[in-house]
Amino acid sequence: MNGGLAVFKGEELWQSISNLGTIAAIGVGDVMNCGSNAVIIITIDGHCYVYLCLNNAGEKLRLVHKQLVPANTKGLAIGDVLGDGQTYMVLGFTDRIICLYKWIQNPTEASLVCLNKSECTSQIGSVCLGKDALGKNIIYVAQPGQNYLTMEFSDKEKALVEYHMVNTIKSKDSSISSQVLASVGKNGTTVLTLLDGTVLYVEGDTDIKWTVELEQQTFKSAKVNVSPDGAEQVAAAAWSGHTFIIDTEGHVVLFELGVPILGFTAGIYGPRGTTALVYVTFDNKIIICYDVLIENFVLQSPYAFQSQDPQLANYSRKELKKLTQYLLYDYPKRH
Amino acid sequence: MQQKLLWFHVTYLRVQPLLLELFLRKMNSFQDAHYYNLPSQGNVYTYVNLSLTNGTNKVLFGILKRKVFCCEFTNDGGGGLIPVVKEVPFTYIPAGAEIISMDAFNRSSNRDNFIIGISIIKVTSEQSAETYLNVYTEQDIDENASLNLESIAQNCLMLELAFTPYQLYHTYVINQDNSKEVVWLLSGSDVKVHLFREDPQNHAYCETEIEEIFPEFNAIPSIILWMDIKHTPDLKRRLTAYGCECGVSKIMVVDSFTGDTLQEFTEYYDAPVTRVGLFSFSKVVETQNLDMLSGRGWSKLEVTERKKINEWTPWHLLVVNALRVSAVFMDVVENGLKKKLLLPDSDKFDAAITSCIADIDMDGKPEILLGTFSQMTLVYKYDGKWRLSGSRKFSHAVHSIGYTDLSGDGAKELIVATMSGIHILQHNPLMNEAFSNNLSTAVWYLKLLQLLKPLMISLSSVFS
Repeated sequence: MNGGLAVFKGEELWQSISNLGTIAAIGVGDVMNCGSNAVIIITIDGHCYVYLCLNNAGEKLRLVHKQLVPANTKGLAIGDVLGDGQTYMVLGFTDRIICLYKWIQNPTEASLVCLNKSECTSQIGSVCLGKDALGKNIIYVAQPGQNYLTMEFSDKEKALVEYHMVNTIKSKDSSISSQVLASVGKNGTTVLTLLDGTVLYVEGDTDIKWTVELEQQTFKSAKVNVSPDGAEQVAAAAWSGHTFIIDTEGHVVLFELGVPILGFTAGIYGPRGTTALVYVTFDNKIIICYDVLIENFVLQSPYAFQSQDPQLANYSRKELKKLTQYLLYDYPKRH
Repeated sequence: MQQKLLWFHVTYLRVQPLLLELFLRKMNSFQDAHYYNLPSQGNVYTYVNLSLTNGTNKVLFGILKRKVFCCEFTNDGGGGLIPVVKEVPFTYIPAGAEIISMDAFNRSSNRDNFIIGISIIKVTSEQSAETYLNVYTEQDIDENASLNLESIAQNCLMLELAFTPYQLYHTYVINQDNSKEVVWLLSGSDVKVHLFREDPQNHAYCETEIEEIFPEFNAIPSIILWMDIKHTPDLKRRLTAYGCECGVSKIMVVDSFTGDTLQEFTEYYDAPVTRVGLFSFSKVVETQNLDMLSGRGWSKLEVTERKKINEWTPWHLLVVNALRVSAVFMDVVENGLKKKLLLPDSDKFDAAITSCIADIDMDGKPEILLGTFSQMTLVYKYDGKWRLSGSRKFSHAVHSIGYTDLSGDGAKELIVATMSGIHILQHNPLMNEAFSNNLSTAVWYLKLLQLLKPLMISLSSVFS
């Protein structure tokens, strides 16, 4: 709120920057197209700071650029949107505008220049980048209800905007704000999480593979990777601190943080390249749960395997239980 | 502080930090299956296992704030399991009362006719408190009725106590007609053990004089923190072990009919004995099915005869001490307390307050699990000596450990109740290739395959 930015590396505080103004969005990417990542900080009143992080180890972030962008940023995404190897910045604003920025540099001046400006049909829930079937980057914009927009840039200025209304049996209040996560899992599925706790797993553009109704209002979601096999999951957090981790089959694991939260994000931030869940609490604390690993989303009993074994098909569940018990505990073991 | 906070939440999330994984040896065959956050803490006396006649188990765990939770697994029809922890609304626990101890037994051998005892305390003023023993039974039970905990929880017999209760235990006495009668034993702050018997005529429980029936509790040095009683297969003898607040632990062999003390051994510590446990390497004890060894002597306790008996059932006594190194006294009937084997490092993790004796690595011999106040669960394995073979740290002090078949599929689960909640740990899924280097599960599967053919022949005997 008061414009402080703290950068943590592993478990130690790396750097802190203050007096930036109320921060609306933070992003990291090579926006300057110079081979080094930069931290982009956008304040609610439209100040955009670019802190360059030179690849030299040990060097702290340095302010290299400061400019004005429209106020009231809602979402930020950084990536190669045009597919030309350059990095772009996408900003979504509360006035439904999506802007595409590129770092333009000439001998006299350098700044982020707005290349494209599009207006969405309604309020922006979140902005993220995903890949289409051909591997091309697309901008995904969450829209209220069960809708989302995709924006595909074929060349510099022209955007191909598509509005997707997810087919659903149950009619939903079309004003419920939502979050979109693109390219989740192997199939690159789109996942919409609604504020009322509905999670939609969208197959193709608009078909629902499954929905999960969570009992709480999930205000923020993120992609995580918590299973040992490397598959991706969706983590959706509610203000109560309850975090639902949902795998691509719709199995839910609930984690209770135990304290109410006002901010949540997740990603591969752990010190050993593992998933970390990051929470901001109402008493100005950041809680990081790292090394998150969930071995199984579904508990299975030996019966799950026995029932598939044709050799054991003749035995009832009760008999198989006795067999399991005998083999596990009573069969004489050789030492 | 920050680091501590992080750690707290990591374990709270039922997550195995990678570093800790290197430290896990014996316990790495377990994976977290479920965690239930309790609204307040329980204690070492509030864990109860209900063994249903259909082979599944339910675990009851009581907490200070008058609530009792039931942990169970439900099947989804296929092989999937859904863990369920829900509150069971027990009546007659007044507002402001706290649960101290719980126990339960099945009155029937072929159906689920459970009787649950809960001792409670209600502090009325700074000086005084009311204490009660509540006994819950199902009044009208059908012949084929399945366990209905809600119904049991509604039928309460309330007994007012004149002391603060400690451990609630049950055992049986042998009546003149050789029938077994299950009775409650309740350790009290008045340095006595109180005996409660059913009065079938009045459908009530009442306190009975204990001196004649359990003479082993006549001269107790201090409050008994834990007792354990095992009966010989022919029901003629029983082994009674107890541990006291003052550090005394005792083991006695008593004639079940005359009440004569046949053997008595005492060990003195300078710190409270938190738990005693009688166990045997014979599997019969592990499955609580002592009848299978019936007919094996024990009629006369002559030395020669005793030796012969001991070949089959040597009893070992685990004595868990709060501050000192815990120990196992091997074959107490033969050696008394002379053959003392220490559990190394069991005093290094703050007070050891709970234990569980179970064959968690499925090698046919039970291991000893100790739960400590410093959040550790220690696993000891016997190979002539007791060695620390594994450990696992939890987020809070460990109050109770159980190893029981909640899922009803033949494979048991490990239940660890801590100060903050209940952890249910499951053996890793058996056929998952990623875990095939896991000894116990891989061995299991290989054995299953190898054994399948010869087993077809002997299946009738296994399933009988």
